[in-house]
Amino acid sequence: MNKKIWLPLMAAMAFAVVLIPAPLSAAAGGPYDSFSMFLARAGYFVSADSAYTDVYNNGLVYGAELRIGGKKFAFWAEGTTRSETGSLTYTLEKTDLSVVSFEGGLLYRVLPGTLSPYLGAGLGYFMFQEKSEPMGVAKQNKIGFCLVGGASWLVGKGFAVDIKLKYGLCKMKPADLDIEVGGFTAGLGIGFRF
Amino acid sequence: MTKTKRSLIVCSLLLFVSGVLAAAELRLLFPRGGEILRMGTTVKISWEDGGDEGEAQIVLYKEGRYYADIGRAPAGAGVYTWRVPQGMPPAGDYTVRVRRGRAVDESDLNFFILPGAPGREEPIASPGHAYIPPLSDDLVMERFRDETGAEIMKVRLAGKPPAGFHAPEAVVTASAVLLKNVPAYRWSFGCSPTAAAMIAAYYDTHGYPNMYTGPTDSGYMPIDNSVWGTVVINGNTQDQTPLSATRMGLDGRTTRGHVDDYWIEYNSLDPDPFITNGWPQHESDDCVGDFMGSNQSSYGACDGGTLFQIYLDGSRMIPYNEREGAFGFREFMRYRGYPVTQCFTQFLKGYNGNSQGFTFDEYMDHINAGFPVMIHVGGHTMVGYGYDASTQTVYLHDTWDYADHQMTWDGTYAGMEMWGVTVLNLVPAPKRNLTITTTTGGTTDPAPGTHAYYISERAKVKSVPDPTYIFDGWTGCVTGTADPVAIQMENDESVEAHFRRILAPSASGQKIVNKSFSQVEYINIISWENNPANAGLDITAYRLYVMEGDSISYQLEFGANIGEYTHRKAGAAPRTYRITAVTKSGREGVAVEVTI
Repeated sequence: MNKKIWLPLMAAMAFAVVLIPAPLSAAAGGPYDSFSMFLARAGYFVSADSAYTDVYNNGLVYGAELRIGGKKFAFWAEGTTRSETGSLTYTLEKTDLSVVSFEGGLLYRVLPGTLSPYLGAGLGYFMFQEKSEPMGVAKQNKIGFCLVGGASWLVGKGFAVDIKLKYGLCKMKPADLDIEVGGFTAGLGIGFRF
Repeated sequence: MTKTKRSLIVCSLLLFVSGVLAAAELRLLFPRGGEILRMGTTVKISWEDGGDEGEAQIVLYKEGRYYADIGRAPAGAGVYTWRVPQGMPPAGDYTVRVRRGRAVDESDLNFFILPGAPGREEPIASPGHAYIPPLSDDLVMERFRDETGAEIMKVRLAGKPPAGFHAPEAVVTASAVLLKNVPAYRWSFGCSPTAAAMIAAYYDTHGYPNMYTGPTDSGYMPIDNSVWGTVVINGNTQDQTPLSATRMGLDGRTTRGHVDDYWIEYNSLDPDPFITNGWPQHESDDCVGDFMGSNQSSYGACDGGTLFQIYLDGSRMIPYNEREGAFGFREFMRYRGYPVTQCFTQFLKGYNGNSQGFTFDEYMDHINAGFPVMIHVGGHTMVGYGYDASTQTVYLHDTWDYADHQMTWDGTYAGMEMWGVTVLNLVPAPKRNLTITTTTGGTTDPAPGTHAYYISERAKVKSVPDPTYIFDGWTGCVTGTADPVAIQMENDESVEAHFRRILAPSASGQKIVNKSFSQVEYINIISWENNPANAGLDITAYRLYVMEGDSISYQLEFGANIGEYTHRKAGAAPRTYRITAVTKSGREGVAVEVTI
């Protein structure tokens, strides 16, 4: 992966792990003040590009998320992958697509508590690849951005259930056509708090 | 430049110029290359020498390397008499170099040194005159003198190739003159009767149809003798030709023939079977080998052999009442009803030093007059049917296979030296005219016009359609679509070749966009349909050309039942295609263009 995206992401996570918990969570002292958690995610992706559905169906995405934060703010980092098999528009020959993305940014907890809604924004690194027998392989990696909103249900002391809506945008041109790789994702996450 | 350097350059130039001038003073005349020198004989090595100082040194080279000193001669002598030593390696890679001071010249090509005939002293070859050494003794049966005192040599020719031998095929040049359709027969009970059968077969299809009247091919001698196959006699497989050697069971014959009466095995000199078995000899009427005395022990011919008589001084040996090759060949012709205008056997000019023998110019005259010539080399007889005057090349059939071969006049063939010919000319046969015409769209071979053929000769006419046309049939003295067509010329005839144009199919095309999410492919779909006006032309395929600029990049061929081609990755830019209809015979019609 491109070091340009990993390095800031890793630095941000390290900063969050080392510095943020003290003022934002532990120091506050409440049972639901910590917003740090690790989540396994699944969701449904709807493309922002109308040409996408000429070839592929909208479908499931999978991923994992690390969130580190306190009563008001949190840093979040997420990796997702989606792959689809579709048909060329005229010959209906098989074509395969995969998009792996790494996103991260800042969350704001609107209402701290057991059920904690939040809003956020961040950057994403999108790795696109499309392959078909007649046309060969097209691929490109590019940075986009994303907006998120959702709510976390903090169950007990160590468990969390999270729903999230995410809208990502990343324009690129891996081959002949300008495409929008991003889209709208509605997802559910389950994990543990710490 | 220093004075010393300038002096050196001037001296070098002077040395170079003087060397060139000196070299130009000496020119080797004999041997220049290609000659055959016999061991034990004496030859005169000769050269032109303008100098008068020192002495000339004559050296023998083999494979381009020094082999031996021949001798020395005074300046200006110009000749050195050399007795070729016995015991030298027989080979054809010798050259001679003559040097006097810096003047030097050598043979242009290699020459031969071969074993000489034992006990015979050969005459000295003269400078600038092709010398053909005498025949070896084993070929000479007898020498005697006629009533005028001229010496006659009787030779026995029985050339048969070693098993599996094949001489190189001829390379026919653009300037070659050839008699067309001279048959090539494989050795059938003697080289001389096989050669005579080839010539008679040529005449049979060129105005003298009574040469062969057997059942094969309606009485026409075929272009080769494969139709008669082989026969195994005394363990030896022999090709067969009834015209050279008849045999019971061959070509419908129900009585004994030449082979039954005369043949035992190759080279046998034993009394013939009809003698030892006491049965009556067959009647000779349709077999040239009977007339030539071939294979007949009564005449001193071994099996496979034929005797020829020839004047030793190089004059023409016109056969008299003696059974031998030329005599029999002439008698056969007369027996078949064709008067002979000329028949003789003759040594080549230069044989044994003679100055009145047969020449290449005379050979060309006979070919030009339409008469093939028997070519004698060593103990073998072949048929010469063409020439190239520029290189003195003889085109021939060697009786050993069906291929065309060649040799240089008075050179060697398969290691045998050419020494003589047997010529037989007939009274010119009457001819009939064939008038050929065509419709638009093609020509014929021979070209449209009036052509003369011998009576009963089979004129072959072949259509030659123009591009996009197809031959559609004959009208006139023949009908149908046979191509080429054979027309038997009993009377004056006319024939017309008809041609028809192959029209283009109707065609259309469309460009399709085929996309994935990020990639796009442009597909051109070309469709075509048969042109109803091509009905009856037996269109079996369509050929599609894809144009790249002004050139055709590639082509595809489709069966007649296919009417569409999908060109993937054709690109967004317009592209032009050509589609043609193709007939079963491979003729291609007019193209239609589609730009998509």
